[in-house]
Amino acid sequence: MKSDRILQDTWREKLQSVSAGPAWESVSERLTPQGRATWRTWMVNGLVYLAVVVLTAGLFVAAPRESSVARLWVKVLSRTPAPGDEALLQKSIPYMYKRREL
Amino acid sequence: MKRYWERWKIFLSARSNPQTRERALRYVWEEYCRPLAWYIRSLDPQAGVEDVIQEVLIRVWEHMADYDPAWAFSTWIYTITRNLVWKNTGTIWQELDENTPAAGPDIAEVVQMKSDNQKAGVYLERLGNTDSRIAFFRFSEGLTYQDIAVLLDMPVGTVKYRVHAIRKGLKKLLGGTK
Repeated sequence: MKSDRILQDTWREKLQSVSAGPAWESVSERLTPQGRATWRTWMVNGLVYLAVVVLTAGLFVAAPRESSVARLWVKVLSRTPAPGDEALLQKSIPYMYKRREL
Repeated sequence: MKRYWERWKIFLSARSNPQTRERALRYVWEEYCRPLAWYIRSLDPQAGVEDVIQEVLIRVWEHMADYDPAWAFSTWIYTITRNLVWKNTGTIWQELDENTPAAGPDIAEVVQMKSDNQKAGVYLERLGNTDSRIAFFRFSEGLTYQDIAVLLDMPVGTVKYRVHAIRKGLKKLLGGTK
């Protein structure tokens, strides 16, 4: 809108005539070291994220060790395929069906 | 929409190292010093503008991590400024409700002016306090009606109506003097 543009331009001109306020140096010398608290915040956040990742990974790795199927998967994931894997997989199929029936 | 990106700049800087935070504060100083000076004078013509701006910037520095990017940064900083000025002067809402036009050049002088911006400048000078702040927030700072309503503690509908009236008044002045 034309009137909006005129008002925007006029405000810009009007603000140019307003005093510039305090110098940056006088502001910066008053800054307290409180800002460094964000470093602590950042570190605490990082530790929390790390703890969540470790716990989640732990759940994925440790909890499945309870079942034979999970043991199979851990073996499959942790080493290169071997002839024995296929037999182990065959053995686990009835167990998987049983789980589905439940 | 103006300064939409600055929300995230401030929000992320607040969670970064002190040097980045200081750079963000310097950006605030560069961008907001003049608008803040105008706003402080409109709230209290007797206020020590430089002192209040310093206090506002120190508060922004200390509470930068509390800033919520769901709101425009300008809304946050103007709220801090308003509260600080009120705290210093003990002002209450009722004292700011007056909307009497300020004295300025009359219509005969406006007719002599050639540029639309000059006429608009006179028009803005003659607006009442509340209308003047609404025009400032809307046309200079680009705030939404909702943000202005929060800052001036008035219904959104009233803000929309006042903005419409300001536009209409300007159109009438520009059209009537051509």
